[in-house]
Amino acid sequence: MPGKNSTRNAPGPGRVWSLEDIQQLLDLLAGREITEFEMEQQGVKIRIRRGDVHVADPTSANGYAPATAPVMVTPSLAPPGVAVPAPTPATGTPEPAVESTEGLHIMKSPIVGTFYAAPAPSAPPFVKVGDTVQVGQVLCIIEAMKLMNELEAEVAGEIVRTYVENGQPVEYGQSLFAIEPSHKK
Amino acid sequence: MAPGSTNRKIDKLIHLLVKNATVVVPGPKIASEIGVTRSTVWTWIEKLRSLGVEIRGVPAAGYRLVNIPDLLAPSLVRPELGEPEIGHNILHYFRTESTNDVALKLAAEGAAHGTVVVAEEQTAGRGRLGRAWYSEKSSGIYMSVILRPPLSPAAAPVLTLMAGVAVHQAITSTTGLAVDIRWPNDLLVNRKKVCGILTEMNAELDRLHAVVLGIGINVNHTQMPAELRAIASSLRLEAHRTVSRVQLLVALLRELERHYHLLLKDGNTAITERWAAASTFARGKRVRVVNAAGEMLATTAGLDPSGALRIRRDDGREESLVAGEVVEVKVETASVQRPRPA
Repeated sequence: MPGKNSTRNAPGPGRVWSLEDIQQLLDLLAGREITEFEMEQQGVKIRIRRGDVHVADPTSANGYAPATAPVMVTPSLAPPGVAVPAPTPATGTPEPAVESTEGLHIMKSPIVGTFYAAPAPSAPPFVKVGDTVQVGQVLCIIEAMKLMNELEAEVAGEIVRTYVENGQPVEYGQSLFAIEPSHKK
Repeated sequence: MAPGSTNRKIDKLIHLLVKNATVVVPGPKIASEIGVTRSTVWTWIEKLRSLGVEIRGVPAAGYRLVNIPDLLAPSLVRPELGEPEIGHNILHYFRTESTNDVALKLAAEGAAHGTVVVAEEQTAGRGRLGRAWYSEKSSGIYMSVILRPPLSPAAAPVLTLMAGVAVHQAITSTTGLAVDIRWPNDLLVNRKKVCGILTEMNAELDRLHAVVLGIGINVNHTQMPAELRAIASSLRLEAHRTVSRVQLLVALLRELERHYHLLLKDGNTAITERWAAASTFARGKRVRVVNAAGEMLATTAGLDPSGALRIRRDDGREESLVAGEVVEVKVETASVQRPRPA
């Protein structure tokens, strides 16, 4: 997200995100009518969401209107406020602040719903870490309102990480799997 | 394009018999009109008879249809629809494993929006999470519709409510039965399930390729299997009369067409308002919520604009239910089953 959103001190190649950077970003977004912000740079993903929005206005056709009360979308979601899905920078440790996903293909959820790792409760999971997958191979099912979305691998490669557990609620755009592409050098 | 689907010439045979329903049609005339041999005509007549179509054979004269058959034949359904998007092309199977599997495969091969797959019998009818759907021969409607809506994947789930409302309208207008909708889209008559809808989507993060609406309706089953009797029924069992499957399928395709366009034109509320008007589950219903996280008791409190069910927990907190099932809890037993404090 270069250009408009970047400031002079913004993290770039060779620099990782610090707490200050995130604070700066929050300040930038504060007071604007932005309820959700997501960016990915150098394999680092930041997502910021405000907790008191997204309330249904029953009079509007498809739209959302400002909230009168907080809404829990699904149980066991993170509390309202700032959500940084990747591990947050630990204070006082010089280790890389955020786990790198560079070079990996991240499969994300296209809908808000429930994640199923297997086609049926008694069946083995579609895939597990270490499996090699082909393009189009089914990785999981996301269900919303009895709409079953079989998520297919967008690249061929090896599943190197899974981010969610069977039965867990997932958000739109939430990372589900990391695939190391097989064509990658 | 669709291996295993009914030979279009059988469809022609049905059409020919229906068109000449009161007269005896000579075998050679049938054979020449549809372009097959007389022995093939005989084989197909036998096949139709095995599906319950009453055809009288008149020696040395020909065949006569005794009753208009209740087969879901495209030649009987398609002319009733005008120029629709949904049902412009109907593929009929006497028997297939699962109409959703057929439709998903056709969709992957590029089948057009509105293509309908219908079967007299499914040998592996599917429900949610690997469950089976009981699909007795020539008794139900087993149908899948391929949709390619101009919606994002995230906006697609409301299509499941749209389908529920359309089936509700079709059953109500065809049978006069009082039909209820259990969130998101089970159709109930006298608290028993008469229709289930399994919707499957093929999509990438921001691009929807196809949605397949799989609709199974128990129409003329004279009895349900013992293990289902307490929770499922058929329209015939509840209405105490036979229901025309052809008439119901025509009504259903029309309602799907109508509600699909309502959704695209007027947005989600066009559907959620109709859903709420048709369902006793919309508000104030005491339910047990069953999802992957476990079970809890709650009271329903309307739909949000996406179609998610608002539920109020016993601790007063409200939330939107996106996935899972709700089961009605009889109020007397609810007080007994109320969870103890942890």
